[in-house]
Amino acid sequence: MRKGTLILISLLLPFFITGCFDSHEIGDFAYVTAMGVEHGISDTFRITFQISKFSKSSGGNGENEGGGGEKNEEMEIITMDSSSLLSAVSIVNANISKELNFMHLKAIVISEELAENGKLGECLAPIVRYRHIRRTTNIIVCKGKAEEFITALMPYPGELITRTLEELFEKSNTIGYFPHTTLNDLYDGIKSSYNALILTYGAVNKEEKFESDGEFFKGESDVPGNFNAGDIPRKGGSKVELFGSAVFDGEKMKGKLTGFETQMLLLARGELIRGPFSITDPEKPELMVPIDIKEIENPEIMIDLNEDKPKIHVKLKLEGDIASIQSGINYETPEKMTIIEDALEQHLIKGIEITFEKCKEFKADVFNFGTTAVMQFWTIPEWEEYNWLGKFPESELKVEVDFTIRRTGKLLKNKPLFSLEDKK
Amino acid sequence: MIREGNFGYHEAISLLAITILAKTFFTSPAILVGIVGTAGWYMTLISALTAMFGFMFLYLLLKRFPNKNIMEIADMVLGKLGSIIFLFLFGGFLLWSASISIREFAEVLKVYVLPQSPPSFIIILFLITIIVLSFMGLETIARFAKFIIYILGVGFILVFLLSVQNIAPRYLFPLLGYGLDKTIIHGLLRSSFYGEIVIIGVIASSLQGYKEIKRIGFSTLLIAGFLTSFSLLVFAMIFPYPVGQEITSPMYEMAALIDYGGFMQRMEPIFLFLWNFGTFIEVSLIFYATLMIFCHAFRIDDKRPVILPMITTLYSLSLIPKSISEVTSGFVQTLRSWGWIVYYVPPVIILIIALIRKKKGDSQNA
Amino acid sequence: MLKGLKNLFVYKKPSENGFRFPEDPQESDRWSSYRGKTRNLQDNNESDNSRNHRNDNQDQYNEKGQNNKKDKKHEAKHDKRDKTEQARIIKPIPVKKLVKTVNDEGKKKDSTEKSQESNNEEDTGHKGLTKNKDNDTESNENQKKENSGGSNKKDKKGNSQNDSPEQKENDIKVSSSIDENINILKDIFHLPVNQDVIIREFKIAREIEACVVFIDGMVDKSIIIQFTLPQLMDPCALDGFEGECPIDFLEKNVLSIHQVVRMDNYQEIVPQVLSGLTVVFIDGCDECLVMESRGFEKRDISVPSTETVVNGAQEGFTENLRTNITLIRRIVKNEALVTEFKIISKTNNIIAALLYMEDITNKKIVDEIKRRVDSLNIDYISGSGMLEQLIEDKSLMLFPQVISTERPDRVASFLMDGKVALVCEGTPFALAMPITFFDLFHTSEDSNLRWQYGTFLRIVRLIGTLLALLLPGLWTALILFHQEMIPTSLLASIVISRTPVPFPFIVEFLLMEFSFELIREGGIRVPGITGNTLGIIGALILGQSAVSAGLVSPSLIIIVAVTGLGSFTIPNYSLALSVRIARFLLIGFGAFAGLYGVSVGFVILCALSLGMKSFGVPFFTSIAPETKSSRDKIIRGPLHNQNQRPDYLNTQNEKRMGDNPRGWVTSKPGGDRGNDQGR
Repeated sequence: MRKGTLILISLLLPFFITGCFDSHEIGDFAYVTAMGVEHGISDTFRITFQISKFSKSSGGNGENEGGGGEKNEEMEIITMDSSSLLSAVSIVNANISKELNFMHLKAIVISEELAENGKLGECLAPIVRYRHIRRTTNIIVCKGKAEEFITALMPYPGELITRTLEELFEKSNTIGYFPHTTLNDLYDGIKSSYNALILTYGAVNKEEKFESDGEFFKGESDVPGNFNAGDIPRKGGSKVELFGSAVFDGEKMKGKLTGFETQMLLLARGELIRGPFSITDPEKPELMVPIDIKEIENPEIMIDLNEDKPKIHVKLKLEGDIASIQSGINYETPEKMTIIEDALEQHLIKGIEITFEKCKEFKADVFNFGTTAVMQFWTIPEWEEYNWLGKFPESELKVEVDFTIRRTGKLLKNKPLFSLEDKK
Repeated sequence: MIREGNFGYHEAISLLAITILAKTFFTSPAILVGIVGTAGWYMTLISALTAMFGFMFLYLLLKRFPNKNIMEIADMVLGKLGSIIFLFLFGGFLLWSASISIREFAEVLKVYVLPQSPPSFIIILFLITIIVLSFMGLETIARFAKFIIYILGVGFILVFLLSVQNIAPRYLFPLLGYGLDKTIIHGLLRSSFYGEIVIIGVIASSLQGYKEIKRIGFSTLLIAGFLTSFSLLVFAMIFPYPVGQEITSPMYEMAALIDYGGFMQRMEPIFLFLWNFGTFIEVSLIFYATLMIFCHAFRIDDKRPVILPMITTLYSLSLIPKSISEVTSGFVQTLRSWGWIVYYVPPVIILIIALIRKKKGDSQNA
Repeated sequence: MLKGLKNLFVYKKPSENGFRFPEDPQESDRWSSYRGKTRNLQDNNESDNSRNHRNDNQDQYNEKGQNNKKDKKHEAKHDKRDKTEQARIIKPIPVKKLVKTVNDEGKKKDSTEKSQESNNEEDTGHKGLTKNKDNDTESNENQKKENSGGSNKKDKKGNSQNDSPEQKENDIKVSSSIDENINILKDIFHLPVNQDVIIREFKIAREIEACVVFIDGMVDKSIIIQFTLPQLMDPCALDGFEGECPIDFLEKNVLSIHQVVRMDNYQEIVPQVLSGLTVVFIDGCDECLVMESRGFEKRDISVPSTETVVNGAQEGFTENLRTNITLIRRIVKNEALVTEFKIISKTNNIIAALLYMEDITNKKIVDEIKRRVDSLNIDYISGSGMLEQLIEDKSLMLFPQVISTERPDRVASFLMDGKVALVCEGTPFALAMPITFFDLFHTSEDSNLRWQYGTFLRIVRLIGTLLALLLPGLWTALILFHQEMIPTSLLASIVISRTPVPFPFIVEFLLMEFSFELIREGGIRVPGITGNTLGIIGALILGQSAVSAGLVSPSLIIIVAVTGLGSFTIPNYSLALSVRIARFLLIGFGAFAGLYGVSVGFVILCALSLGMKSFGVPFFTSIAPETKSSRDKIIRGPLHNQNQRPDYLNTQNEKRMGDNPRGWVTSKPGGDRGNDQGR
């Protein structure tokens, strides 16, 4: 009987003291979905919180969604200057009715200046300790003001901002113009002895590069995507764009890679599963041949550490489909196919080499070659003594690409266009 | 003395393996990475082998005295006073290790899940569970372990399978960590990680004979060694060694890192349950073993009245450490590095004394 | 079909109380002598004998005659049983009384045989007669008649000359004077105040004074009107009779009733009258004739209402014990199926039948159940539900420890597994024990369907059960404590739906869960067909208007509804109820300490249920502790692979089928049937 009473008491106990310490009503929080950090004017940092208000229009049931007109009502932007994140949070909490909650923080935006001044470790690394912030939070380095970026960061109509960002970042694997970077990567990158840190680069597109009037374009096109966020000649759509990447040495931003270079980088790292590439037509250089590329095997990386300068050998194995041939030349025949293949191989080798040179300049091993080099060391002390990151700028790279065209799209062959001018 | 119920091979293995494995969920892996770097996953295999060696002596002892548990053997071999002193020290040590497990659990839980709840709240709730389990007896604890192992197994596999996306085998290099010598020395010392295997000696009379004990002991060590090694391997592949040693509960972070976009993210509840159930079983087994030892030492037949005072002791013990740092780098570290002295040495000593004094169990062929 | 069944049950219930009415004198003699023998041997084979004879009876009535083949064999089997032990199993009979009984026998040679008979019957737990030796019982009978045991006893005391009431009551014999008998009867049945009992006086063949006694409504009137009175009152009824007491002549030559037996002791007679038999007293005879004439109203067999299946038998138990046993026997047509009858309550004399397979069931289980049933000392039991509570291991435990089922086919399969069934008068449910969680979790449909479908259904049910148990607790924990663990888009919808709700979450949740329970309970209690509609309409209206009134959030309604649906998938009503209660517990724990609290609650729940035993069998047997089982937990293997009976029952015969249950698989097509199936 005593046993029974004891069990009963232990079972009933919870009901008497229901709702303890950590229990919170779900509506008591203001869910911060994005946060910006930059140099402050009146204090060290200027911190911007983007709070999702989870109104009817942003939820799953978009019945009341009238369009993109009243978008600003879904978000609340609070910006303040403060010495640290936590003090900013407590001050903001004192001024709004709800409590800031970072559990659903999806993106942290850092201004480029802050990153260049090497304040990354100072402001961001400590927040890994902060329980609410997850390691899967995405990190973006933005051009200009983070505040502006956060204000412009708007969800796709009818969606939650988190979902929009999630879907956006997933593109990294399939297009590769920017890397998918999280707080976990940032932390690893800062602390790691294997590789350097690379972060997504983003900007608010002010539509400056888009010229509505002017002369028609003439000359040779550049490689597609060879620019950074903010410089894309486009109009409409989301104001915010992610393009290219910021390269760090330790916690200091050294420079940025363009979208194309990022693509090359991810290709060499084996992170770009598939993506579209365009090469200039070998026979008509003013036209392009877009090709869908698939990386079928992880890149084979060999590093020779015996000499003074590390010699790196990268071998990529790709296959792809021709998406279109602007020139109309019949590249589908086996003989001509090799021309395309060779052209693409050369294109990629050149791209990777350019990127590599750029990274050497930045003294940042964003290619993760260090993780291959480490295999030649037995113990951690040996490895740390060798100081790979220090040796990286002296290294030499040799790239080899093996590309095969598998399919040619919906057309099996390409008959020349019939035009009177050609007949003459 | 009231007989504990009997239980079989599966129950015993579940019970002991969970007890051993529950520790990987907490701060140990991180500290391990701090010591041996990337070599943790095979270091633990060395530990498991060492533990098997240590367990062999216990097994020899139990074989010499068939159908007796370690308390009865101690009575026979060491004499009344000697046995009481030995049992008191051994039981005290087990109780202390249980208190550390509880405190570690409470602290880590507080860090990750219940930041505003005071540790005493978490610990009291924990102890209520332990009281209920202890009241139900060893048989129920064993059955609970067997029952829950399905849930734990599914959760474990799920967490590790889903973690595949974050795995980078390159983080395993350099293979030897901070040096082979360091790895081996710590591997030997850390055999204390598997020290709970000696509880098999305490519950020996509930198991079916020494042959079964041999089977259970070695399979438990094998399974626990393999699973620990596996989880350390996965953990080492997810966090590079400089980061890995900083994280409070690497396994929890590992689960939190799982993100397949949209809905397949935020998987830590699965892990939370692994954590809770595992620790409940771990502590209740250690606690119950302590209970059995003390009750035997002081010739108490009914354990139930002793449970509450013992729980109170456990509670006070668990509140002794000042902070999480003291728990993790002080107490847990000491326990893992030097626990083997308490776990594996006494059976050897008792065995030697028994050999010298030519004491033997009554029915050798049983 | 049903009509035919009904007839079968009405007219072929020769031994509802376990008492056998011998058919012809030869057999009667044989039986008597056999009894004498067994008594001398101090051996208690009565249960077997009676069973065998009952089988005989059934054989004769029930022209199919499958049940009676191996009398001898079984007699032999049970010689081992210790008589005294058996006697104690039935009822704690004070030693004094036993001694007295024996003394009586010694004194009155002429009634020795009857005493023996009754004594034996008592041993084996046969119905009314069992009681007669027992003082308590008798006073209970009295109580029934008058609601006051004390005064009854006094009455009795006044009537008879013996010193002690027990003695006196044991000794009321049928007098040879009809007037005295009528006076005694009037006294016993409190006539003329009590108007239920009819004493019809008449003359046999216009010569001998006689009377019939029966209770109005309990008897089939046609037996009295057509087959008793006309024949007895026929002027030629006594043609060819010579002598003093015509009772033997009448029994053998005049009365064309299928079961007639002679009795001489009121303690035996009264319970028979109470259970609907008709008694004929004849002037000049110190015995009377007890005729089978039961014919009270009862419900037809209908479709089981709480355990419906799509594919499977559609018969459910009724309130009538005999019908129920017949339903089981019709499925288990085997001589090894033993039915033992026991009176389990003291005042209302409810009879329960204990069924088990003689050659399968572990005797220890049977003995334990008998021990528990026999030791009951309670005035009133209304049926199996009350019996269940009285014999279960631990009344504090949440989960049922005895399964209560409405389906004869389930009982039959339990019996064939080696379990013991208890069928009780008064409720259309049978109990089976010992059980495990999986017995509560399975339905009869599972094994009727092919294993793929059966497994699928079980998985659905498992998910339903887990949802019903855990979902509310987990939801509470997630909402109140672990907002970070909810995917953001889900969180958004929850936040949106909760915005207009004025209550704290836990109040809202409990309100909703409680309303759901109200609908369920209300739906059952509302009279008539309104009940069903109330459930649906109530849920719809309540949910819809609660949402539109802004009292609860739509997301919560879905959780409550899913929980409710989940609990409906649990096939056993008791288990479903326990899950419904446990879920509130987990809500409490969830609101108390989040997921940590839920896991604490879950562990406590698990510990309690894992430590629980049903007649010595742990609740989660075959998972924890692990036992051999032939793939019949959640995943059900193909039927022909399930060749083992449950290991935990330690049955005498562990194999359920031959080594090659499907002989045709190995035999040549078109060749021998190779049928090697076990029984």
